[in-house]
Amino acid sequence: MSDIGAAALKFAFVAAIYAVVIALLGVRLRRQEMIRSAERATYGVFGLVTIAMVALLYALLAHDFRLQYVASVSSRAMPTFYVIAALWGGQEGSMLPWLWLLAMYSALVVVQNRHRNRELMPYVISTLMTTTLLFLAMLVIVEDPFRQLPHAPRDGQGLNPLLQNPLMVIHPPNLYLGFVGFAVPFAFAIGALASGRLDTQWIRSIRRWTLVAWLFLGVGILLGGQWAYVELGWGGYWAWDPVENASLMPWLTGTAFLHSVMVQEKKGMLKVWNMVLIILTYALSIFGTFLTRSGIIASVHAFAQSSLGPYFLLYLAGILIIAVTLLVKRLPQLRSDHRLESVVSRESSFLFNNLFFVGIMFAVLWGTMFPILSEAVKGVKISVAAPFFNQVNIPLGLGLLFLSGICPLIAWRKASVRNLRRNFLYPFTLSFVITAALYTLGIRHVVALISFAICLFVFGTIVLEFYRGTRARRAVSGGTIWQAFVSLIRRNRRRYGGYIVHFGVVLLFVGITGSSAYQIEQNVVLRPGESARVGAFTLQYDDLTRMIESTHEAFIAKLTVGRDGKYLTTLYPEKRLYFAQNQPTTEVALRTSLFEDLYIIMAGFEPSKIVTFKVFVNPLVFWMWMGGLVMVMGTVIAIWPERRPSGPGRQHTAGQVEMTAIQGTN
Amino acid sequence: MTAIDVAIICLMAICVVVGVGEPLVRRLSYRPHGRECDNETERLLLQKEMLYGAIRDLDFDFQTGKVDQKDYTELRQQLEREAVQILRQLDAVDPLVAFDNELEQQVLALRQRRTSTSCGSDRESCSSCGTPLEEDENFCPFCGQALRLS
Amino acid sequence: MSKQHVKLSIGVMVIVTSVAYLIFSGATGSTMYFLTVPEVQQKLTALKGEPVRVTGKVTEDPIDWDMRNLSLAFVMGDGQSRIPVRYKGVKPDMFQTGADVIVEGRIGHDGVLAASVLMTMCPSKYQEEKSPGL
Repeated sequence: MSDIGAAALKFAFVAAIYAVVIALLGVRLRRQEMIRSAERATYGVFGLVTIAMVALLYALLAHDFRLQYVASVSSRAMPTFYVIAALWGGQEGSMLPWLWLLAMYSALVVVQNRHRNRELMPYVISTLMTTTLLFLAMLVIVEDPFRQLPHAPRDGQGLNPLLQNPLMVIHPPNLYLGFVGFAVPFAFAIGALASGRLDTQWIRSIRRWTLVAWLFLGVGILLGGQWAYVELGWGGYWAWDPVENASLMPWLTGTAFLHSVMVQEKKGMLKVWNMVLIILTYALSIFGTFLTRSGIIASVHAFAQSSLGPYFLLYLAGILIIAVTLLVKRLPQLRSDHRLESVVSRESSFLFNNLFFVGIMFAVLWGTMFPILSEAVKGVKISVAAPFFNQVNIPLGLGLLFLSGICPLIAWRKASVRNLRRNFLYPFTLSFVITAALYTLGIRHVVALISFAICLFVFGTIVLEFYRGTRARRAVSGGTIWQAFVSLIRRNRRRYGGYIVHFGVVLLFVGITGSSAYQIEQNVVLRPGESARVGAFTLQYDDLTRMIESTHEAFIAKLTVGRDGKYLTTLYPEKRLYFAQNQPTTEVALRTSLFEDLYIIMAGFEPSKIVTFKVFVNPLVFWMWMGGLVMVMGTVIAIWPERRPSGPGRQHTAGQVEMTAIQGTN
Repeated sequence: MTAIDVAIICLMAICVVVGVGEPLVRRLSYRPHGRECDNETERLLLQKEMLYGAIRDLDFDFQTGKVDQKDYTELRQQLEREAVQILRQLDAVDPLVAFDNELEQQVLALRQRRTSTSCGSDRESCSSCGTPLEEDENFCPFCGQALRLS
Repeated sequence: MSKQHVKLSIGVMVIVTSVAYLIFSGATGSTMYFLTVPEVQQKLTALKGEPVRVTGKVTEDPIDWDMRNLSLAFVMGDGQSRIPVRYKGVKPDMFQTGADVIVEGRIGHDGVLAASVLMTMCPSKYQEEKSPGL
């Protein structure tokens, strides 16, 4: 079976090369059949890569330890669920699922555009297939998942126990879906540039693709943070680690792109800027992959130094050169259709928000790359620690949050300043009143207060928007408040879905503020029977027991937790020793509530059963994950397809123009 | 590598080659990329869409209180003028679109007349919120107050 | 419309300058040299009291882990060079003789690196590690 998989990959390699060549030939020679052939080749690549995936999956499940990869990431004792996850949990494996996703996306794009965007598609296909080639080359030449060992070991090494966690199963795929997802908008951008079809048609075609990629990337980042929090045991969720930064940067420019694209759709402005943004977003996601996999920067995501680095860099340099050349060539055709009418307009607030996003991205890039740059320039590595990132990004992040509150209050084109001031008043008052209340209740941390104030302000503007919109809707078509509300959202999915996403961001900020500003960290050393007090909690250490499971040996401490004299819960922090590994792992004991998390690890124990516990009280963490969920909901609403109106005689032209009925606004 | 493996691999290769080569052999008829006329029509249609979108946005922004009456009337007239222009251009370029657009033109012209005349002094105001109104308005666009039925 | 453009440009410049200022002031505060153990030994006197980040391996010298005070004393080295380290915090699970470590802290007058951050990586090459470090 694995031989079939290996052959499939090699055939896919050939097919991808063919697709690139024939697509470009077809558009040059103006022969439709060549382009159709390229489409078939794209489907072929998808089919072949799927066969390879199935072959590898089969090998994993059948414990075919003759394959080096299977032997290094799985073992007989591993639960089936994690054996499947080992497909992406290792160095070699994680390229194949990525490749498969890319191949699937490419095939999907081709199917979707069978009768549309005909001028762009040859270039789109060749761009996507070139990217596919990158991964295929790495898989076939450097890190073959089907490489065989001289003789099959009896059992595999098994996956690092830290990775055996449901979060770890979904975190990489989400990130891949995000990274790979941006290849599609990028391919269309190249298509628009290469073909000269620079109107907003390419932007409309990629809208949902971009949103989906952005959504998955965002979810992937949050899941990574959640995994770090629950699994790693240092009490936090984000360390400004280079690999974390690598995933954040494309997300930042991607978010900027999502906003500025609306300006181009409505007014035909910022065309060059949008091109730059999508190229940057895609380049950053490839760069992020490179940072993660090449081991070039020391990180807790310590993939071994691999030889994949040069491939990524070469590809990155190649696409940047091509993209920038095309962009410069088409510069004259990318002039704005309209001018900015007023600084007090939604267009300009989007422009400002873009500057913030790019600013934060640049700060993160600077901090992440500084060690390498300084080594190249000065010969000595200078490291940038977490305080830098926090110092720079907190003010910028808060500024951005504030903007997201003001922006809904401003009209497109030109807002009346008097109206703006009046609209500003309600949310501002709400924010002021509640912040003052918080202050009197004892919240004195300055940055936390500012953050909460802004969060409340933004929340106020969102509520106001929904209120006004519902009222306007009712004025036009009557009905109950609920009917008007639902109808409002249905007809303006993008706008109101967006507001819901902003609300999710507010919750995220609330969670981050609480857990950053008011975290309690305490070490307690206890004998069995002793108690300690941390924050408002009383912890009584009952006993330490030793258990032997099939895969590991565990030392489990029993802690009875009380609050205000009443019993709350029992927590069991553990230290585990997996038989296949020879290091201990720490299992965090976590109790979550709406107000705070109680987070406990065993820092060490003695044969006398004396245990040192490290205890954290992290306020408001729940709201971070809640915020993430709300963001997902909002994005789904924004993506949800609207009923296509069937008007007679609407399509005269070879390319379809997306006609939306006179219903919704954005 | 067993014999079955070899057979499957050969089968794979054949399928791919056949699937990929078939369009070349069949030689689809050559369809020329858009004529100049088509491109122009498409460009104008896109512009029309953009303008309609802008009008919708403006109406909604007015209804939700972000634009005051004066700015609203001013901007809307401007947009309607541009829209009528585009429609006329479309007429000239593509006669097929003409019938469709005639109706739209009439509606726009009607609205244009209405907005320009209602700029006069005989305008009523909403009794509840004081927003100046146009003729035959059933609901106040700002506060939703039901008015006299016309 | 150039009045609007002027206002816009001012807004843009304000934002860009603030970002640049933040980056600059943040960078001058939180940077430190990232050195190997031999490099540290070379510049030992100059580095005393300065924040520094060092990479090396845990040597075979005795490791003292005081569990009750969460104090870890060990020696990190690279070839012939050695540096004693004292870290206050939880001993990372990956930590053992031979492990690659990255340490952040200051070197005291006694020549001991007082570490505030300790990151560990597994000595084996084929496994990816995500180690609880901070």
